[in-house]
Amino acid sequence: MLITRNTMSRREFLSLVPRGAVLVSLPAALSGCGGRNASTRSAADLEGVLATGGFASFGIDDPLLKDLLTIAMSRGADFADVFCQHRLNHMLGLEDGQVNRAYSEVELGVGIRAVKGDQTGYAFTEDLSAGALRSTAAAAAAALDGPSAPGPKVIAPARRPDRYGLVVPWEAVKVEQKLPILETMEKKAFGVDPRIRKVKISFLDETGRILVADSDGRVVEDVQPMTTCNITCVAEENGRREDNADRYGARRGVEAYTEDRISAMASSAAKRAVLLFDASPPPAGEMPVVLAAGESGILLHEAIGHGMEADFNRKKISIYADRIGQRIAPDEVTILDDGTIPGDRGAVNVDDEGRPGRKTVLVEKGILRSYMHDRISAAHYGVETTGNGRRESYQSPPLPRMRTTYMLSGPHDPEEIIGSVKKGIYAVVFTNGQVQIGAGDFSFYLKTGYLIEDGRITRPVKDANLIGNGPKVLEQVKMVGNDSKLDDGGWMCGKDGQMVPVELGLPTTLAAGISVGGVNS
Amino acid sequence: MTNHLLAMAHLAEKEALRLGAEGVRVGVSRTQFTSIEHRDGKLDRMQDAITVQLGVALFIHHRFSLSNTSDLRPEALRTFIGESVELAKRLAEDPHRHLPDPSRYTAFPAVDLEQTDPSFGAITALDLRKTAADLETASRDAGPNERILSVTTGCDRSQSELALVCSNGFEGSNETTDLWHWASVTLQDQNDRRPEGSYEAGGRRKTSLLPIGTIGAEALRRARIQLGARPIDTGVYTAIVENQAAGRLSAMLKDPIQGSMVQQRRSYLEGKLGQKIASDILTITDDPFVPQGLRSCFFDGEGMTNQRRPVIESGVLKNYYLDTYYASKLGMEPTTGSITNWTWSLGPKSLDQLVAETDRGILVMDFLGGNSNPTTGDFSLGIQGLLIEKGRTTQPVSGMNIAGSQADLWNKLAALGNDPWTYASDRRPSLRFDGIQFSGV
Repeated sequence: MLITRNTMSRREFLSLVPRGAVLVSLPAALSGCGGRNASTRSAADLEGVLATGGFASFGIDDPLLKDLLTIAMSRGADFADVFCQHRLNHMLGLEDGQVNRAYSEVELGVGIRAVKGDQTGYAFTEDLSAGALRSTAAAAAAALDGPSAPGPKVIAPARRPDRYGLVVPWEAVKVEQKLPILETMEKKAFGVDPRIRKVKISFLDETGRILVADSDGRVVEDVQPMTTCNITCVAEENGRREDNADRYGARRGVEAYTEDRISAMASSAAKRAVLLFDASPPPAGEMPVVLAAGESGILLHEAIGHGMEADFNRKKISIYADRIGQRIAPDEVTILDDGTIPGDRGAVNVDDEGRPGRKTVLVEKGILRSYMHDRISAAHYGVETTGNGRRESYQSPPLPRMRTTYMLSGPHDPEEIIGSVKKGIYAVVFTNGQVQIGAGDFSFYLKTGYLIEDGRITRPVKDANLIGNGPKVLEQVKMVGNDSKLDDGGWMCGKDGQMVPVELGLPTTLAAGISVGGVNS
Repeated sequence: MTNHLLAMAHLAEKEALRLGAEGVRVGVSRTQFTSIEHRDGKLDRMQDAITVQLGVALFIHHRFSLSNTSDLRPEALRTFIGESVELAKRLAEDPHRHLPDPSRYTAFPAVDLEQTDPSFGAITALDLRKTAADLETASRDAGPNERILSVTTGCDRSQSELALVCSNGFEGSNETTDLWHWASVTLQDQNDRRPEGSYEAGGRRKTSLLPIGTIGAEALRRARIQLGARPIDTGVYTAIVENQAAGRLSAMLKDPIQGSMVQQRRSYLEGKLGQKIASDILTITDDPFVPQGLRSCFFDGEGMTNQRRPVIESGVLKNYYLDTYYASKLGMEPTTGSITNWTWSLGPKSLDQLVAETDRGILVMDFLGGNSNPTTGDFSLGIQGLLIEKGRTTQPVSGMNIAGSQADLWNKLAALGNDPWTYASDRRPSLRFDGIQFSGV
């Protein structure tokens, strides 16, 4: 189940599928510090705090960490790290008028990595006894061949920023405080339109605690909150059925669920569902596509984002492998990958290698500037890591992964952009995407949009796969709007069998070279 | 080891009952795996681990929760179960929540599902490393290789055990072994395109593996045939979907036949039991007893004894997947909520013969993204493959989509190949559909 053997390994994809039935419980050893939340402290406060404060209760202290790193370095590694994780989540589900299911998950484990150049040995354990941890370090080291290198003499806490802005930790939020969020949202959704017949809502909160210690002597802890909420409405009219959804995802606490947000989500899902009674699949073939501001950022994620992850480039298997410094898009196009946006789903105080999350310019005024790096690729290219080393959990080694990928605003009024199109698609709501890293062909699935006819938005369209070639589509970006907008739609990105939370954004953008998977009458 | 997992499951069950649960189902799984990735002449990544997970489903006055944990320290586990019980108590009462009727826990048939390889223990990590290196050599030596940019290969080995207990009288366990070999080749193409071809084979036993040379040759071939690929004209073509890729199409059926989707009115197949939903030639059977099947098992996720069941018989929809909960909500008898192996009716012809008798069509060898709407049956999928003209494949195509409605698609199924894909639980053959909308340029 954990084995990455599928041929999808380089067919990176993005979806809205929530993590499996997940989440849930505070182990006894931690319950005494359930209210403690490192993310509410400033970076400066962290210094002087015992480095392994949160994990000491699991028996993982500084001497043991040093010991594990020494074992991991014993067979030729030039770098090693220990990743400790405790994560709990709770999910509540509302269906047929009741919150009648709860799912929870506790993940506790330690992953140990030994690195030599580009080579990685990785092992993990859920048994946190010193003996099991030492065996795990030895298993990671066993992948490599060479002389022993010393582990760190001392390990010292590293500074890290605070970007999550959590007011109340999720551990302190009772079920009774969450239930009304789901119940109110359901009532409001039914109130939007009498054709709404079913409302289904899932609500997830998560608290992840990580500690990373490495052979350079760095140790850093972080506490990472997350919440997602999904609402799906099913509507009926004259025997026809349609459904549609809205969702939210952020590194925030329960305070994010204001009355306004609850109403907006209910209204959006319900209105999107009934809109589809007037929609049909779009015509088939290549045509101009105006991407609406916001979640159309899925285009960037697939057309360029994955291809700019540095592992694919150091391995020479990305279509962008030899393009740094070259023009790949018009002047109007500047694309960032950003781990620093407060409360954002893609924000990371530190990545899963313990390095601060940064704001990375991928494309500056049309020129390709930087890949997204983890430690291995940064060493390969002789640059600093960009803080993109992320992993699904302690069960997997880190890889270069996106955080929040978006395009800055350009000069054009959105109305002007739509007005310039004689016949095309205005694309608004998406569900998933995928890319072939090497060929550069990518797709993204349009759930809801509109036809543009003679510069005006006309009838709604639905259910069409849009497909293009990344570099070709970027080259042909015609107009960039002045309304760049970040989505907050709870996206999950899959790569090499690992899912991580990401976010994306885009201004209204006119693209060409996209084939619309529609149906011709 | 499985006895140990069963004992652990019973301990958790007892604790949940002690804390007030009326019904409990506990699953404990243990997986040990080694995974090797070899790239361009050296080991790239080796992973090695054992993972143990415990899941508890609780039924308390018709309230329900499901919790999973990897923190199995005795004290932590007690706390975990206590919190799961408290969580469930705070939910709404739902009369449809209960364990399966114990009459569904019947004796298992006396057949060997061949889920483990007796010689498995003899395969060492060093063997895997050597095989992965050999796979690279085989891929590079399989044909013209001057365009090769990179070759990544891998060997994965795993051994899993599962124990499941239900407090109203079920106890079961299952053991599996897995061994897989794969190769992936990236080539330099024009316009800096770098197409990748991959191939894999494996299964429960070493005998499922293909010769290393075959895997390497297939990976290289699949990369080479993409050289120069581009979209062609939008239009209606015959589609021949290769067995390996065809699982993407049958996957679209798997949501709308779920009881949960039917009950939530999100299935285009609602109300279609006993009706024709596909071409007469299509029969799909859910068969949990396929020897070495990748989802073969005597019991399902709820402990109910598995049965062989028709899904579609001569084009007629015969069963939904109904677990205890959604069957109760729909007022129907449960079948099972778990899809096992799908076996398909087969035709007399090979893929090559299907291609040879096609005048103008597209051989679909892979899909890219796309989605399907289970509520309406609409779908749209990216494809790549080869153009067929007068019975021969002539040029590679990519960057195209197919779209339509599932009801229409399955009725357009005109031929099935004789080539079931055995490296997946869904053992579909190659499929031919007439009159499919392709969008390109």
